Amino acid sequence: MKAFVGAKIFTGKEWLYNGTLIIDEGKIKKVLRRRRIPKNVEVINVKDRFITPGLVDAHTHLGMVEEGAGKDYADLNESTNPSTPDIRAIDGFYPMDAAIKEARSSGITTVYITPGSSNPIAGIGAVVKLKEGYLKDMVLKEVAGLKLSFGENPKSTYGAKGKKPITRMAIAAIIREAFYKAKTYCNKRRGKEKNTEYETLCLALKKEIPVRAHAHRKDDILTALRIAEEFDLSIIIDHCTEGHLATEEIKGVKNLIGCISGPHMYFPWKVELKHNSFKNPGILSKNGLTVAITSDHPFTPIKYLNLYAALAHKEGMDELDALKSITINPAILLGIDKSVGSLERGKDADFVIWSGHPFDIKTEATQVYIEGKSIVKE
Amino acid sequence: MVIKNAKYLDFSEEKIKEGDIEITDGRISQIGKGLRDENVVDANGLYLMYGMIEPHTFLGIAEDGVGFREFDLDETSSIITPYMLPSYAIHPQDPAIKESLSWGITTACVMPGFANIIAGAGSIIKTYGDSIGELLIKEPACLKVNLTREIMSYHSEDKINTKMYAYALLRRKLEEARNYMKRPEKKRDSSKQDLKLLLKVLKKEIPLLIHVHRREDIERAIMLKEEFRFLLILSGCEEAHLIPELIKKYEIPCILGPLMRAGKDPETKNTTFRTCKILKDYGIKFALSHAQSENPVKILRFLAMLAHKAGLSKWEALKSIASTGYEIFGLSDMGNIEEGKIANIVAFDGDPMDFRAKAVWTMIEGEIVIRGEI
Repeated sequence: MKAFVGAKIFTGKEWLYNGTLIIDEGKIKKVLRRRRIPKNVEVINVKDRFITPGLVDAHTHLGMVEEGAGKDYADLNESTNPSTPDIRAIDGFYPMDAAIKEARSSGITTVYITPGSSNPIAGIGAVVKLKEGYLKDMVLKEVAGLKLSFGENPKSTYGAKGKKPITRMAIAAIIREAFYKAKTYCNKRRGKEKNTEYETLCLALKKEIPVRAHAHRKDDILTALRIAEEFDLSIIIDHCTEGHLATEEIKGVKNLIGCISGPHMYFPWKVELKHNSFKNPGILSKNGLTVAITSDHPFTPIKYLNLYAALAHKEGMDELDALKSITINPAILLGIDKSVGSLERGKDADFVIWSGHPFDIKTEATQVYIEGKSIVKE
Repeated sequence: MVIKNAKYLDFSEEKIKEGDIEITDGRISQIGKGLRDENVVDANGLYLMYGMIEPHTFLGIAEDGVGFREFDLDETSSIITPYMLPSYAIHPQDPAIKESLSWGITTACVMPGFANIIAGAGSIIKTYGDSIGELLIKEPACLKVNLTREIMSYHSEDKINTKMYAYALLRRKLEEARNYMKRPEKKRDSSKQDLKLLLKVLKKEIPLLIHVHRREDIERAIMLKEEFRFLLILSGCEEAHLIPELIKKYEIPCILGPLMRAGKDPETKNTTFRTCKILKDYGIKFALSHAQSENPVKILRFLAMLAHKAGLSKWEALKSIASTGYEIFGLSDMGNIEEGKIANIVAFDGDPMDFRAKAVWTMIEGEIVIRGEI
């Protein structure tokens, strides 16, 4: 058993200014408001330090685009077919990628990895804990979400070749047609032969996994929500770039679990990115939506995730909301908040000891713990 | 026939022994002292070893001296091609086959190359004979799958871009085969040769040989095995030494290599001969292979020497080219000079681990079929 005393602790909900964090066998045993040290505990003095839960990034391609290996080693987009529901991010994941070590030593302990956005039905994402070990042990959820892509990326991938989808109309058509067919397949019980593509779509239809809609422009966001309503799907809007211009339309939508905002530190090279802004997550948050901030690694480097939240705070997001947007909120959106995302009794002992406030640019993650084990800083 | 005055390598006791070897009907029938026969081969001064096996090769389908356009290696017209049987392409007159024989390689598993996700069957051949009927020992001996990034270099960008898709396509095909298996036998379309072959895999009649480089692909191959319950042989597996406990836990045999490799890419950058010793220490069964590297098949013996140089014991090194390969393919009547085994023997003029030693003659099924190295 270990007790970390003297630090300012962000629990995932609030700050404790002189709290005590006690961990045991990889789990959080207690989080106390005051300095109180039980007997038979190894005491670790972390005075003047800050502690937060391990950071969670709910939308990345970490380990799927190998650092320094060239474009042949990017396992991002299967641009051969606009509908590939059964491809899995985990099958393109490289656990020894240099970026993973970097992410880990920068305080990121859990990520969602997903196929890219070339395909209207793009495939299956997974939740991965960034600990060292076997792939199987790293994976928290092998099948965690079904990615759907709207707007410019599918259009430019296929349209340029004169293939479907050339227009937003065809994107919607591809997705809706697939779900109609899958509905028939899922309802049939007897003598059914398994089809791996439909099986995946069934998971979404049964709400066992959410659909993760890549959507930037307001109309694309609304199209995604319209389809989610039509087929009664749980939906998360990824990027949600113009979400802050659509708050009236999206708040209170029954099927919407939340939004994953970002990457904001990104040049708006596409028309649909014109309104990309660090103001976005704050506005969404103030409208009562569950918001996570993402790096979309490698599109912006994941190691600065805390600073993206800091910039969102600078642009108007409440400080606690900004902290939640890289800890408990992504955990909620990924459906893993029972075990990670905050410092609460019984959860995994994933946390970061920072040299200062995590929103201060000079701050470093001095130590990172995953399941109670200190990660060697690299 | 009796081979007199022989020094022979006994892999099971890891000893060089002396004795006479009696051969009857192509098999070793007795080993002892003072055996008699009208037909005597004097092996005075020679070292006899069991004939070597190259467990992953393109002998006869990537023929020497004809140029790659004449190869029958990769059916790249499609990316999933289970029903490719090498016996319809192996050219018995490929000079490399005779060369290999003369250097003491008596057996090989020939399979299609690295282009397709499901590439086709593996066929066990002996390296002696004029026609495929004489060469062929077992087909299909396995079904070969590739899950390396090389697939992408053989197929155009509009066919496949990612490893994710490679896995998805493989799963789709295995699921199709599972559906086929679930049907009552009468309702199975018997013209579906692809599915009939995959059925053998799902029924564990033949193993699925999965060619991978990296540790995570080894892990994923094992996950696939758990999902579809087939017998697995790992091939390539240059990063096996990074996760030996896992490979041991599932008792997966490995066909290692090519470990003699220049021009490493990001997937093969960790290739090292030290892998052999590590796998041995964990009790993992493995055989060494050239697997169509730029090196000729005949110098298989040098792989064992390099493995020995990198820490593997001399006996384990020799077994990895002349014994475990047979075990991996279930060829239980081959793989050691002992009573009952098929008499495939090579005679060297020195210790086979000495690189100067030459093969003097090679015997297949009790007959000396070639003398002197080519």
